[in-house]
Amino acid sequence: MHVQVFQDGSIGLRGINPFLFDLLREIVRCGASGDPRVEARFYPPPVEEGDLSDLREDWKSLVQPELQAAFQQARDVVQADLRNATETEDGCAFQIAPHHADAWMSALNQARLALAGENHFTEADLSADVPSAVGGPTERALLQMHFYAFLQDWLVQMAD
Amino acid sequence: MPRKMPTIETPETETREKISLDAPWNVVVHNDPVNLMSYVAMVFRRVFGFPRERAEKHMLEVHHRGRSVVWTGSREKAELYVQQLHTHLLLATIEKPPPA
Repeated sequence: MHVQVFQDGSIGLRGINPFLFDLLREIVRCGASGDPRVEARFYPPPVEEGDLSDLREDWKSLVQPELQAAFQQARDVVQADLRNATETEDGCAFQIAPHHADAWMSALNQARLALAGENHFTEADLSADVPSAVGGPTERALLQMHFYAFLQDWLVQMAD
Repeated sequence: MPRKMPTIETPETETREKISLDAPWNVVVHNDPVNLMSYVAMVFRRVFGFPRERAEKHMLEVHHRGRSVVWTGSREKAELYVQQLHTHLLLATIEKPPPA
């Protein structure tokens, strides 16, 4: 996979093999996980346990819908960018416009948090080396986490 | 002279209550093993306008100590900051600072 930055700030990714392109397509699915552990992580309370129950309730009814909409909007942008991907001899290619970078960072973060929640990954799991082979769903999810982290970190560096 | 004492006590009580209501609130960011350190520092710069060094100091404090007080002020503004941090998927809460 090759990454190129164009003069207008767009990011071009090309030569993406089918396996990695599948992982990219899964960003949207991961973020839309309805798993209660993932929901709890996406919408944490604004106060620690036992504090200000009225604020907790207000947060749930007023802030949570706004967050849901913002997260969905970010995933929609990613899905649209991937839908515009083209197939070339050396793999798939697509571009991320500069004003889509924040949506990508959000969607990648959503996907990583969802994968970590669904697979109960610990800090030790995430600090371990990237799996060299995909032997099962856990290794695949770990590889996915690392791939998304690489892209997200790269977008953060670009935004700096 | 002693008869005038009660009129003095009343305003003192009111002053104490006002101080309690206006007491500052902390915005606390909690550690999360998933969020990238570079991303957390970027969010601090964007949300609070911190210079790079200060953003990284708070990010490292979250990473090593499990939490960092990133802002202190009015409750209304603290809630707005927490909402912004949640939009970036950071774990953040508001809390009253412990009494000095």
